[in-house]
Amino acid sequence: MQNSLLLGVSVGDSFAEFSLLSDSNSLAQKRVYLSRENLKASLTQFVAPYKDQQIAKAFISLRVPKKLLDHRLSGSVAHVSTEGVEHWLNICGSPEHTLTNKDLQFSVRERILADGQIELPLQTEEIEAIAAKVQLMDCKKVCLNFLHSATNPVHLELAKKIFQEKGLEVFVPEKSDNPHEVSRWTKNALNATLSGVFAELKSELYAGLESAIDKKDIHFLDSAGDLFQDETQREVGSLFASLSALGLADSSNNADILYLGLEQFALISPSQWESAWQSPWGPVEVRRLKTHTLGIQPTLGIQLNSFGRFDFSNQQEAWEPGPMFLGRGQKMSLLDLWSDNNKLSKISGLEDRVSAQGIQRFKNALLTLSKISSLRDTDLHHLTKELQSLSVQRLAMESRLRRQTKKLKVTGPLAPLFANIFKKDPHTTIIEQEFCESESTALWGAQALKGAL
Amino acid sequence: MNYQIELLHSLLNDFLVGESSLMTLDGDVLAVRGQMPVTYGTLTTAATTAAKYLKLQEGDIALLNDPYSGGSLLSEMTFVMAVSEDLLWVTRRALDTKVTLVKSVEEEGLRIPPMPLRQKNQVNEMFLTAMQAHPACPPNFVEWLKEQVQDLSLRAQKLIEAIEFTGFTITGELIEDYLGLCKQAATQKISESASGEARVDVVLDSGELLRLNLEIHDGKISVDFSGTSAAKTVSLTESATYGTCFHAISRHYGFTDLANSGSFSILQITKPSGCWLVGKYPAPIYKGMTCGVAALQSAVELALAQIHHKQETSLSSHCALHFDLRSGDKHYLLRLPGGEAAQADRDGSCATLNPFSLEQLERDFPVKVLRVDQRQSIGGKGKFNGGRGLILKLQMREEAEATWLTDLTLHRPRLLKNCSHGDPCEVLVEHGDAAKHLPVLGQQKFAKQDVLTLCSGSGGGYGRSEQ
Repeated sequence: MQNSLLLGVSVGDSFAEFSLLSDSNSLAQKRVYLSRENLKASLTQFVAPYKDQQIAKAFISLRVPKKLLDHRLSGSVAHVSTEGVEHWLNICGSPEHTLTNKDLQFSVRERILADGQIELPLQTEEIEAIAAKVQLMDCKKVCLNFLHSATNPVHLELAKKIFQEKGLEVFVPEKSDNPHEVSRWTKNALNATLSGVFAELKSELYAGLESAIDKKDIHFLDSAGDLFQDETQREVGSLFASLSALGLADSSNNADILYLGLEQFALISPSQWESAWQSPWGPVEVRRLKTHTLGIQPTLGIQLNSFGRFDFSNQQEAWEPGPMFLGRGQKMSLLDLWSDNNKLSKISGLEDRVSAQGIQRFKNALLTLSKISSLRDTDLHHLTKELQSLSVQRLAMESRLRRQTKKLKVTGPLAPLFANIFKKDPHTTIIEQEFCESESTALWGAQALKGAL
Repeated sequence: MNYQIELLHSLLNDFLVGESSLMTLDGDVLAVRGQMPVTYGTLTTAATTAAKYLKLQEGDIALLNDPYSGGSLLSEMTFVMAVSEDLLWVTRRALDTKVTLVKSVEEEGLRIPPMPLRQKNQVNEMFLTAMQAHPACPPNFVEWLKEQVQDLSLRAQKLIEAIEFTGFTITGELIEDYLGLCKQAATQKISESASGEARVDVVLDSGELLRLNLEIHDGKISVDFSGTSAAKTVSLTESATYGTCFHAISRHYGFTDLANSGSFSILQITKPSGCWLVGKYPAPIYKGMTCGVAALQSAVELALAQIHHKQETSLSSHCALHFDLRSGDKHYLLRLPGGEAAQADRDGSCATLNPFSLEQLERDFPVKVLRVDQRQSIGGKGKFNGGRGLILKLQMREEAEATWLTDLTLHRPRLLKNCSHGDPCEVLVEHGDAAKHLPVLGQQKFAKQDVLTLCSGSGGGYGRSEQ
């Protein structure tokens, strides 16, 4: 059946993976390392051989890099709030994480009471004055958060209209049953922050698929497992879309999923939902599958602990510049411990990138640190095995402690390296499915679309 | 594997969520984790007391909230569970807290000394029925307790499974090595900084004197509270005093994540019996567990700052403003924390809140939020400014009642010469054209249209400001 090809795309912080499925069977798969390869070009190249076979639908889970949640990197957004509560979100998050620049926080004299009654009407002149200031500051986006606007949206709608007339892009909190304004407002603010980057990535993806599939057949997935196309305000919800897809695509056997991806290790419980994400900016309204980010992560740093012994830090070194074995990284990270293992170098996206010099530099760094460690284990082979064993045991222990069901499914590109310990557990299934993020995105996307029709 | 110690350490970190501790039946504390300073002393006392009187068998759970048996506030329930033949897990979970200004702990609520909540896999229904019949029993308490028992059992089961699954064995030798290393690490961290001694006096608004002599020598710390006055209205338990001192010291040196019998051994405390830090039944505890703890934290911080000139820091505003608003049968406790002290190289962090809903507050209570923000501080200025406190301005839309509490506003302790005090907490009421400052603690009705301004303290500043 040539006309039933499905494309699954999962874009993360540093990697993007593509899966082309024919009747749920994988036809072609690829992973690209975004620091070295262009998303649009890679996607075009990936779908090129299948142009004539007609890709029916494409489903995409798009995670904007977490560092871009910082407004200083994603472009400015003006925040306009009810007078008196204009700094409310600032004091609900951690002091180091702000949602916007202080100069772009404005207040308006308007007040709606808890019962929806208008106590102080909104003055249009005031909004116009703010719009002028915002434009003067070369800011194009405005985020509106008014008290009790969910009960009576009249002021919100009026302000939105005025800002839009001035050519500004306006963000308002989504209508929902959530009575907690902090999580609604924070979501609105983060959506505004991410909107530009998200739109850019979306256009890049559309451009990459232009030759192979019609735009109307391309669907994006959010954390709740819902599909969207041109709708806005799904940016934050997309952060966890691929993990939700992993849990939703095969929820038949009610097992928790231990996902061992290149960018993250996570435990997903398909039977339980969460309504908020406890972000550094405070709670954010995001419906998503219950997910636990594990203590052991693929790019965790290696250091000496308080006892002067080797251990893993709490800091992830990330994929830019990446682990030392790829040649550019300067700091030791967990995956470097497997740099001699062929299974690692065969993983799609990493093949041909392993650098012999990088591996040697890692070994030298490990040896240097071992000389000042309290155990002074200078047998590198032994030390590496010990640290590998420590990380695998920690992973197994934590997933045992956190799982919500007895059954567990272990999957992901790094499963061949980390999953051996689970083989002795009769309730655990290991599925060496390297491209499970993109495959699940395609499979769940197709199911969700069928459900929506 | 050579790295059993690291595996044990990470297991403890993963398992101990919230305010909790794991210890052996022999009394060795493997780890304590939590945000509340008193946790570091009270949990182990709770476990020891429960184990002593109840002879807990594997799977048994004891319940207590009695501050004099290792509890803290009466609204915080402490569960002690024997997760195996030789391991005790202590965890504390909070119920709805109310500000109480009374003369006896019995008036603060239902006081539960160590009681067997579950024995031989059976919930003790007789005990639950008796508690439910008590007039001070919180609503839905029994149902809540049953949920906790279920959750605790599940978590304990997972712990055992995780240990068995990985083939990890927590032997006596491993525990001994781990505790030894923690002690060594704590000693080393202390030894790396200066030795010396310092004396600090802190006077509470209610008149109690806290006198602290702190001595650091050979990586050990001795704290002597001789000269501390007896209780007037503030009283703290012995275990809470220990926990607060340990927490303040370990935070300063950066070994709070190594809190266990090993690191506890670096700290020696001498307290005269009869002082307010050794409270005796039936003294009330709410004020001690809030304002008393803040005074103690301030005193330890000041003493450490005196000794460690190279890491000088000003004084944080540890005493939060507790404001309990009541209308009809509803109440809501607003807790406004203070700002942090400036240090020799940076400004102090501004206070942040545990997010709550302003809209919900206005829906549930006859109030209108006029302003919520970081306060504009007058004090706490310097080369580096102290972190700002918070301000919450409310207008009463109908008559409503409130009880509030704060401290450390009248007598400011002596600071180092480079440091300045931040602004203290304030409660202000505007009635018509008249405005007046309210005392540091009180309970009163507020009339319709009254405007209340609640301000938490700001952190102290460091250095002279450059004009």
